[in-house]
Amino acid sequence: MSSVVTAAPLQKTFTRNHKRQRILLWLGLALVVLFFVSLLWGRYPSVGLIPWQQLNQDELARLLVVNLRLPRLLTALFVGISLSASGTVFQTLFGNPLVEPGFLGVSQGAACGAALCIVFLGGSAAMIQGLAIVFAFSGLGASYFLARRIRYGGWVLRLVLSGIAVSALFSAGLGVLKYLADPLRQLPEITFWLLGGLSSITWTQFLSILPATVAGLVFLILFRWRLNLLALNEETAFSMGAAPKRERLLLLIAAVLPAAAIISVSGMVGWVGLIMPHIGRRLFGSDTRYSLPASMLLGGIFTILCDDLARTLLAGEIPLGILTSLLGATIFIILMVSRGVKVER
Amino acid sequence: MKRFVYACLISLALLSACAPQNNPPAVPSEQSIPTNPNSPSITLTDALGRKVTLPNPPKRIVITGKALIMVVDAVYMFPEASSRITALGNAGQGTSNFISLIDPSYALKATLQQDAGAEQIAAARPDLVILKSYLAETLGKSLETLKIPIVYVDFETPEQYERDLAILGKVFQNEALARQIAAYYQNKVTEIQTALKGVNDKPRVLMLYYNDKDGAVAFNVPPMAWMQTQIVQMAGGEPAWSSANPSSGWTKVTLEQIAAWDADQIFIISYNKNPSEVVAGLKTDPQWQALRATQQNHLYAFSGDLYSWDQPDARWILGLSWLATRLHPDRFTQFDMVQEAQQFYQTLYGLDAQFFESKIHPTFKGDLP
Amino acid sequence: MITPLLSFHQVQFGYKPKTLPVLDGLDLSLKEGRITAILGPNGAGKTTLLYLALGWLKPWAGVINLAGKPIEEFSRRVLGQQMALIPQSEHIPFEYTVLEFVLLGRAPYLPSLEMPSHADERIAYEALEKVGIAHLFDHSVLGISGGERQLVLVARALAQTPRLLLLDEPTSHLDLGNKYRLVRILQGLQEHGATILMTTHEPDLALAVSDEAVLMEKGRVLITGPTAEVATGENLSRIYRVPVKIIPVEGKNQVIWM
Repeated sequence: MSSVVTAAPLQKTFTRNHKRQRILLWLGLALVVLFFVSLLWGRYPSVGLIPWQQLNQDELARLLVVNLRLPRLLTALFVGISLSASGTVFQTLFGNPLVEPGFLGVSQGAACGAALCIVFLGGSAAMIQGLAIVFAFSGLGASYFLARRIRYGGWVLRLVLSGIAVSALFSAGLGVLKYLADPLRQLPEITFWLLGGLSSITWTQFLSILPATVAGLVFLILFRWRLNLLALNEETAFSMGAAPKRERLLLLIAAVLPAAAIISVSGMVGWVGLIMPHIGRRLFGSDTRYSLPASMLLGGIFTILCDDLARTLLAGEIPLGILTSLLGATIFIILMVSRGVKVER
Repeated sequence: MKRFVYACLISLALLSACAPQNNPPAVPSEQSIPTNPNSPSITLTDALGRKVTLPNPPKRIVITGKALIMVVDAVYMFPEASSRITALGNAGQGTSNFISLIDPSYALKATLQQDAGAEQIAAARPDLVILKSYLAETLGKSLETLKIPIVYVDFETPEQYERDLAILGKVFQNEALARQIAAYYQNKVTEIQTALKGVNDKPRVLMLYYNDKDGAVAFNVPPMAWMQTQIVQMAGGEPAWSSANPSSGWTKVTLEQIAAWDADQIFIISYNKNPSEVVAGLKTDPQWQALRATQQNHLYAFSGDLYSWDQPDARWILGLSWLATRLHPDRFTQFDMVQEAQQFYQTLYGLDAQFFESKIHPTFKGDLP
Repeated sequence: MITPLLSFHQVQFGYKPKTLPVLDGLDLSLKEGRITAILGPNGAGKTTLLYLALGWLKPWAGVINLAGKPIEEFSRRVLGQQMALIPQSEHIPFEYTVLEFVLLGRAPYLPSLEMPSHADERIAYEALEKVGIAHLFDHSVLGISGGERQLVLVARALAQTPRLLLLDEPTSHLDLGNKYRLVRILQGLQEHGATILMTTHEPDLALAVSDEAVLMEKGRVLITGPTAEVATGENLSRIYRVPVKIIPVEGKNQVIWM
């Protein structure tokens, strides 16, 4: 064919893709650096970084870093990655840039399920996670099927409306549990669900969520290009060799599993799943081949930063969800208002 | 590629099956360190049944969490406590703070927030942390990974009071004092019960906690298991709201329900606002004037000094005594509340009459002479 | 006899079981290298026919063959490599570039977990060249005109390098200029050996571009054959229930409303 003539314009695309890959690598590196700095950052022995010598001599400092900060930071990392990945998948599959796990009843369902387990079933970590996952799926399913039956407005609007309704139902369920729960023993845990927080993360908890989270995330990473295909309507996707119903379901499972597992140990952390996909798309284009890993890395960085603030800004713990909402909503407003954020295309 | 993926997933599944048991370091419910039989080590069983062994008497104690007054007021009954406590959360309630009155170095110690995390606590380098048992699953777990010893207490009900005083006695190596304090409480309770022997008519009592946070006025009843209900029963009264509260916390009730209960005596508890002011306000309200208890002059402000006496704080015994005199005044004609209070502070905290008159008596609230 | 590329034998299909089928006893035979137009009023089952040909819908009765083999025997991927669909219109919610979008057409050649390669991107670019919009490759799909977007859909189908192109009412949203362009492109594709099946409710289009025509009435084929012979005024009047005549103008047949 005319391969010599096509070289020039196509080359532009190839270079751009290489550039994107390189930026992703840099983002990954930034994440790793941030992670290690955060390990040393805290309020012990005073606000700031622990000096290296102290780590060598002080057993308490070592225990602090290894047993308290390390699992906590790892969990924060996974919170950011999982929620951003979920958000990207939902936005792409539903063709709706306004959704995130918290808007479709997934987060509230997970929180309600976990709280239910704690109040009524005693709550071992595995059971809490299991019930969170089950309720998260029912929240998503309810939002989706309700949206199909609404006879008002376009698809975007219908999905958001039904998501709001289902989220409200689960939040109400959470409120009922709050009313019935022992205020001294279980109630602190329920307000924790609503605002999110990583202050009591231990190695056990982190390791317990690892399988579900990693399984889902690995699947999504591998599928990241094909995700674009499944955003099209069913007949078209089928005509390109996909099995749309089955593949969409698999993708949804792979998106909900990490989010629900994470929420069962961290409570509801909002806005990460909404903002990071947007930023990812802005910087890397709508092709999920790049925007998915980008939003995951950005989510990890954002959440680790918020968690660093949560545990060091004040003498007490600020719930993580408050910081992600504050910073996330601010970024959202800036994004929506600014038109000048043109990145090299 | 696919096979690689499946291999990853399978190995992850296997890993997850092993993972929870392999995490470092395993946290047993026993914290024991091999000790020299001649060394001053302390062994005790705390409120959660955990066996705790401390190699040396703790000198840097940290106490934190919510509702701290219940624990701290009991801890400070031990004279050794003050010098051994390094850091505290907020040890007061509302605008009053008893500990700041009796501990001159309180300001230096009160550095922790109510929701302090393990790291902030670790910064105080404690050798013992005393926590209420509700924190076991969250803060407790984190502290355990730092190998900081923890003793859990409750101090919620009269039975727990005696048990937890014994625990503190071990911590401060003053078990004799712990027994004396427990005896003080027990004797008072016995006195009251003896005075009430043979009482037939138990007045129907309504305990209402008044709350006007967020601008909306609310009246709440306590759950059956709480101290507020127990002192009503111990003072020879019958809780009128027994079926109303399914939850384990304060429950709001409407005025309609209050009227329907038609209690013989109504007590208004208020933690922040002065309860006498509240009651004075209620007495001008026509709806409250219509209640039989108000008309028969049985609408009372629950008494207190720095803190209201209805709670499981150390002063619950004062609350019980006072309540008994309201419910059955004929059985307690010789009773002098002020003297009881002064005796309380003298016995338990070693505070003399002058201190009492200048610092405590002026803070008396509620329907006290 | 040459095996037709696509054939339907007595195909029956309905959307709701136990109701009247949409297609009943449909017979169709598509020759390779020809442009065939399916004509019929709205609701005649034209789109249904396309979805059955794709393999997306399964008939209640009858057989559909692709190159002589029943389509059930083909895997989805192979079907995607053989046939491509150009839908009437498509809702695109996100700002893909035109090239990224057309690249999706390479999916039938990529196993589930593989990413498109440089070779795939080259094929996608060439597809854009074939429809004459290569200069738009870096534009956002949301930032181009409707007509150009239609061409993007055509390019995406071409990226599948199929033997058979299925078009669903391709000109219904296009203005005259874009219709003309599309027709020229289809003719160009046919000259290079493509087989095209398109549904349309515009007899004009069929007369202008198709070699063969299939006239449908009530779920059955009324008549099929070379367009000039089959798309007569009488037949068209019958299936559309309106009086029309065909008049040759400068050698080309024109539909005239009576």
